[in-house]
Amino acid sequence: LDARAAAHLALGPGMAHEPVGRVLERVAGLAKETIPGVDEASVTLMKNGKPRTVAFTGPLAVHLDERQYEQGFGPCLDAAVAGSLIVIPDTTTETTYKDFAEVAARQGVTHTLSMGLPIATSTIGGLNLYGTRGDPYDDSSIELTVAFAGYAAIALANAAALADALDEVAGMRTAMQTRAVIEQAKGILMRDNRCTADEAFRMLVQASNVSNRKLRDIALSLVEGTQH
Amino acid sequence: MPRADAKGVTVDVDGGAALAAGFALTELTLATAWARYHELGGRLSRLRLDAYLAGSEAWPALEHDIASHALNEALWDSGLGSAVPYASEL
Repeated sequence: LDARAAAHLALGPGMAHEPVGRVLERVAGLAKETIPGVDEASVTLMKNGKPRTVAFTGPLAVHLDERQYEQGFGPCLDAAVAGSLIVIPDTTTETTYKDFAEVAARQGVTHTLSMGLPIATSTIGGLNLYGTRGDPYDDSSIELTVAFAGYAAIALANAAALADALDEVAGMRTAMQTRAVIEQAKGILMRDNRCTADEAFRMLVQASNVSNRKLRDIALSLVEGTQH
Repeated sequence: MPRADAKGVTVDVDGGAALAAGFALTELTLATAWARYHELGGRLSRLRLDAYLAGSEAWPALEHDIASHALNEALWDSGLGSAVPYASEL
């Protein structure tokens, strides 16, 4: 199965409503299945320059990725941040990423490939491929990886945008509920104290500051207490 | 004391600088700060919050108090006390 075709089918419209975590797992799993010489894969999703969500096909990738995130340096992070392609054909002779390559070699990794996931003007994350059987990735594998990364980036960007939008909607819903509760609490205070809405709000502020409880919690107690 | 006209209606206050100083102590982004202010019943737009913090407009005392309380609650979240003055303290 061609990696491009597989990625297109598996990450296409059907994945549009999947949670980000599931899309990430799918990308990692597909990379391992369809790109020759990949024994383990991981995918990193970046947000504000920091790795946010990660999916792995196995413990080897977990170990190698987490080490990089702790150190803030490594081919996966660099590829994810810069959107570049970083190939380590032989972990025993690597010089640029010497520390990483030594650890990887000790874990049995012979060669690695890290590819940024490009979207319009930036990158959304990185794809990391680990091989343990000696043969470095050849040009056709690299070409497939670049194509695969293109599809994966679109799927991930869509899933992440949907997740952000859902977060925002959930936040707005909570905000509207809180506003309504505060309005009700003000109404109760105005009735009981024959005061204005402004004065009622300042009473809530004062109660909040005196008790160090959030104003919304004070308002909720007041509204619930009155309902009994 | 909050400045009020003869009918007891509160008037605008120039508390943007004090609010901006408090905002700098929080870990909130401008968008989140506005969302917290809105959640507590604030009626003014995100753009007007930006303008108030920049010192380019005055705000009704009540709106100032809603925003300062939202920021004070954010300071509590960071383990700090209420540091943002209310309109009556300006």
